[in-house]
Amino acid sequence: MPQMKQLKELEELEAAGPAAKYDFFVQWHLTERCNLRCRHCYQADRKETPAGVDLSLKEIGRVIAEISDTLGSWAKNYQMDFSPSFNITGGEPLLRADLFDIISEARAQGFDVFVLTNGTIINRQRARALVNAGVRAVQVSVEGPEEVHDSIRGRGSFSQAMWGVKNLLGAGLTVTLNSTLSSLNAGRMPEMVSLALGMGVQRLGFSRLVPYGRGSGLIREMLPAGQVKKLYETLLSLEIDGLEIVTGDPVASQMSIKNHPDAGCTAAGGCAAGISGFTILADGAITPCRRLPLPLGNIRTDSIRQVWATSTVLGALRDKSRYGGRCGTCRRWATCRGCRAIAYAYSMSRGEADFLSEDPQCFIEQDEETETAKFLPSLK
Amino acid sequence: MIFCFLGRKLDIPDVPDSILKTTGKEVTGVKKVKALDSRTLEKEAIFWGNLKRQLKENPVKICRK
Ligand code: SF4
Ligand code: SF4
Repeated sequence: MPQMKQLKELEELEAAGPAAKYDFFVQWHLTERCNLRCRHCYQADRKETPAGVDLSLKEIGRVIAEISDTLGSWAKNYQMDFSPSFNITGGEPLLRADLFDIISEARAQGFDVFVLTNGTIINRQRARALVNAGVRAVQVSVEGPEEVHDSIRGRGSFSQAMWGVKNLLGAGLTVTLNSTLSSLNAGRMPEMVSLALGMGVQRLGFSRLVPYGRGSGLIREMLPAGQVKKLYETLLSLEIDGLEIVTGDPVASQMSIKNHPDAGCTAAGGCAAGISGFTILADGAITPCRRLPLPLGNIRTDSIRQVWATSTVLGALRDKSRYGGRCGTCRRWATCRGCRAIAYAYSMSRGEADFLSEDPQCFIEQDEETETAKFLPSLK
Repeated sequence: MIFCFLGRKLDIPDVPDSILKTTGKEVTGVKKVKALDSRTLEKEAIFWGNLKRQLKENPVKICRK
């Protein structure tokens, strides 16, 4: 009897009392329009969104209210304490004329707001407008020193991004520089540390390349697992006054834990897909992650609560028995699951398109020279 | 005039506000399903119940992408 089971769940929850604050965030791509054409972009190389497809300000207001209501219902029914936020991005989010209104609305509804941008069109006035709208912090994508960055993101984009960073810092905002790691820039990361220090930003972050969309041509630039390991060991061991080195990479989060006990079969940390947030694309499509292009529905027609509870894709992401390769048998699965987007893009390049396959760059507890070679012949 | 941290002059023309012209457009006539059936509620309760138990046992670090 479903109702009986549900009742039992609720009783147990009530007895368990409130949980610690749970980070729940929505990554929102307000537009696909962008003033750059980066080589590694996970967005498909299609023409700018046709007029009329991006959600309007009015629709966005309704979606913010729906997400707020949904979180309110979950908090009330299951005694969850959420720390809700939006990562606002694009395309280039600063290209939206109503960006500051959207941010203000999200703040008014109790969400923290972070903006992810290429930095190139942020003048002093816009930096100040971001502060006034209530933005918590801004992430600017920087791929390495000037020639590396420009070779990936286009000529002149480095200078423009640095100009934007200066304006953001001048307005008093917290800034993260974030690099997408691949063989195109891995050797230049020490210079990124100098750059971050020189610019005076507060954080330096890293993500791994997802060879999808325009970036699918960069499959050969994916780093072998052993090189990711060495890079992370070097970068994450740095202790620099005033500069925090950050990454959300689930595999990186496993590095400090030796002899991991079996964390069980309930996903609760690591990859956020299906667990602690979702992504909304410019046309309202809902996906598990900005880098994992599996449609779950559309925000214009589908209820978030319904999608969150009943999506078969989200159900599969939460089910250890559905995972393949090493991730499927790993005792760290509950707190890791690797990067599902990389697993998907990589498997797709081999003609399999399996978002539950193992993370091809995982270096945890594997002998780089033998295990990696066995699993990843083409990455060697 | 703007200088980068290396002291090199950055030759950046300011970007006019006219670049900020993208806005969306409301799509009308779409219906949103809001009522949740008991099966959905059951699945929801199981998800949050399991998660909450797991959170009590393990501190979590989540990928914010
Ligand atoms: S095998 Fe998968 S779940 Fe286990 S540590 Fe590696 S990426 Fe994480
Ligand atoms: S799919 Fe990858 S980028 Fe997306 S939340 Fe998971 S680990 Fe992060």
